[in-house]
Amino acid sequence: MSDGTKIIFGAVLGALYVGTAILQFIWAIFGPLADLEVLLISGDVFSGFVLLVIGAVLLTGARKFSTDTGEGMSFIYVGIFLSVLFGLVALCSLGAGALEATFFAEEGEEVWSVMDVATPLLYLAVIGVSGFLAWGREFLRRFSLA
Amino acid sequence: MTKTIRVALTGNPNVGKTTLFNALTGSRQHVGNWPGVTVEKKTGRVSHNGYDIEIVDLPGTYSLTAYSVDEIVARDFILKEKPDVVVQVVDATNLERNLYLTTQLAELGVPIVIALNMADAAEARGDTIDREKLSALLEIPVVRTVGTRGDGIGALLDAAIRVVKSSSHHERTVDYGSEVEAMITSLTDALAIDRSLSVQYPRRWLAVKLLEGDESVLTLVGEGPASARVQNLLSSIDAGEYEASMADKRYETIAAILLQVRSAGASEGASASDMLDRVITDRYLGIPIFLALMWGAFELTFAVGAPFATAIEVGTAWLAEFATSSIGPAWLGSLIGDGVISGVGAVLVFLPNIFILFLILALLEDSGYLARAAFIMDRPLHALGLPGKAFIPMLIGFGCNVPAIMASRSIEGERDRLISILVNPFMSCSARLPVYILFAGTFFGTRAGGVMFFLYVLGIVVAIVSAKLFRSTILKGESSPFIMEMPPYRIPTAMTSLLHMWSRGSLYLRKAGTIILLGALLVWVLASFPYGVEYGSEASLVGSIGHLVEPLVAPIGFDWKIAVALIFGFLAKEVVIGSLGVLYGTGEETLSATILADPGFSPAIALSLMVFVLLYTPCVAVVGVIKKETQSWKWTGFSVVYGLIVAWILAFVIGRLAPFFLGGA
Repeated sequence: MSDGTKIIFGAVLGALYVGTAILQFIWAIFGPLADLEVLLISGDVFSGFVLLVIGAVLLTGARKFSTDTGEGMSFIYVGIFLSVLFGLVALCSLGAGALEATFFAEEGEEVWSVMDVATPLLYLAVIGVSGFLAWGREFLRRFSLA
Repeated sequence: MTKTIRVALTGNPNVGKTTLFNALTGSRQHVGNWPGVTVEKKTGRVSHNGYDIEIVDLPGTYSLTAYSVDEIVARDFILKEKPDVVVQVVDATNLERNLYLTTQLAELGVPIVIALNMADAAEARGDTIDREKLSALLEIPVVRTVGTRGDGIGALLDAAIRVVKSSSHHERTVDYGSEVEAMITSLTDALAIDRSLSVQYPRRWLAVKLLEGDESVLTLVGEGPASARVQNLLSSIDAGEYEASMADKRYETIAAILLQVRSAGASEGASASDMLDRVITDRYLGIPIFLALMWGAFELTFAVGAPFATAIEVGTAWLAEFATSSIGPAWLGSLIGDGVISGVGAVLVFLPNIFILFLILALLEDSGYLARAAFIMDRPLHALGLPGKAFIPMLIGFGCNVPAIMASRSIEGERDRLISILVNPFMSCSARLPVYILFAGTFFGTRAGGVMFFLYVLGIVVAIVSAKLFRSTILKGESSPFIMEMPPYRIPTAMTSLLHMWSRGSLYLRKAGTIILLGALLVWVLASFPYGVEYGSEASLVGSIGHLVEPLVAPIGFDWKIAVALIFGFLAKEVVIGSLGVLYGTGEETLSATILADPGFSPAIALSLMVFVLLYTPCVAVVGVIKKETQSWKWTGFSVVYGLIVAWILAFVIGRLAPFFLGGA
């Protein structure tokens, strides 16, 4: 795939990550934002920070492509890798929560809901996975050159 | 009859010495891919072809001009203990730097064998090395090894035995050019009058070290009869210029050899390591990425461990209740149920979380990331007057502060090393983890991972701020520069990472059966006497101790039970939880449910308690190692008192501020 595709991919995914991070910070400072629960936004500043970092890596990659292709590609590959990695972290947390709710929930305890624990790290990682499928093999091959 | 020989394993840091040592001896010493993993020599034995071979794994060193404590350990062993043969482990992917040490060992005239390690990595990138020619040019046997797979182990031992049997060992020298060689000759002549020194060390080697400004050789010569003449000669030259010129000549010799024996593979663009390093060590994004990965680690530790921890907690509570109600006489049932099962069980509950954290740390270390973390922290640390190398012991402190403080030996400069030792207890070791998981899980629900992340970052911040404070007050001075080779990134193997996890996690299990059990029993005895008193009540001995200390911690919001738990936490930080388990005598309820129902606890107090446990007096094992490493009761006492004061102040302040962030909690 052409470099142009990588630049657009990095810029769009990066903007999505930064956008959701900003919404999380606004939520944390000013309180719940109406109608945004559907996007799994919450007031958790820590996961907001992680979203911001991944977005910044991807946007830096898209920006650097114009001056140094190798540098830009490195940032986009690593951004995609971080997107998938933190998506897996969020998925594991979700799975563990479901396991605990299934087997150890006590009477009177609040009912566990996917919507309470899912984060934008999950669905944004789906886009990251598509990038990984497209360019991941090329990146992994380079490990043999280490 | 079996003959015994002694082999010293030496080499640059991070070339796979410990991996090779494990392959040679069948040991399971911890292997890391950063300098400082081996800070003192380790020995193992192997039988081979009728020889009983003692193998000594030495700390890594770049040269025989020693600067740090671990380098001195390596050099002194080779010089003073005089092993039968020195096996230099050489990284085949980085021959230039590694052969620099070879030139120094060769000058010393010790019998040497080279283990050309990581040969597979060099071959994978297309390098070819003519070992026979390299061996002929260096006049040293060269054996191909791959420590991780155990390749070449037999051949290496064969070569070591052959070298020991052969008596023709001689010094092999680098030609330093006419001017330097003339000075070496003059110094060698001058040293001839010091007979005792000449018997112990080759005179040419001593002369070379004197020209390199080696402090310990200068001291050796300064005590002998050749001192005046040597000083006279050294004062006539520009020492810095000579040293640089000699280093250049060594590298010229190495380059000339490599030109004849090595052909490098063709490059196919940037490697994954290069690509990852561009981003991960980026000036602006490096630290945020490090913090994000830390958050991920603690989120996984808490969330994934939770269902398993709950299963153990429910089982332990049931077992404790069963023992208390079924075993007679009543005091025995109470001892087993309230004391042993509730106390040790309260700590064992967190075993899944501990193992998960250790697995993540092993994966990060084995992938090569943690070495980068030390690198990216160099800039902010240096700005605060600290060497970046100090961050390596800090990272090791996430596991346990004892080996972390020992790892400070790799830091050059006594003041830098002392600062590194004094701030290390603020790094949150795994023993604090049960406290965080219990209280963060009980009071902060889905944000527990974030709270744990905050505590780990707080530990780093307090360590760095304290280091800056020490540097600008009681331990003034300049920090030394940080030079560290980056290992290439690797995809960690499941077996290696699981072994790392087990070797660290099993220590926690052992602790549960020893010191934590002892702590739980001690608290149970104190909670049961004087005879006839209500178990764990304020009238018991433990109540009296708690009330005695309570005024000191009451301003923070802690009651007498917390005071008791903190006192016994000095044995080991896990005992804080074990003590609470015994004191609350949880019965059918889990400890978290009992604590949640106690009006003496609130989210703000829980946060203060976690901060206090993070920062207060290190455990008895850490205090012991601080004394051993500083050789000073003054600095040991200072560490204990300073930690207590910092913990008290921050727990107080955070407890007061917490309600504003936690919505009036």
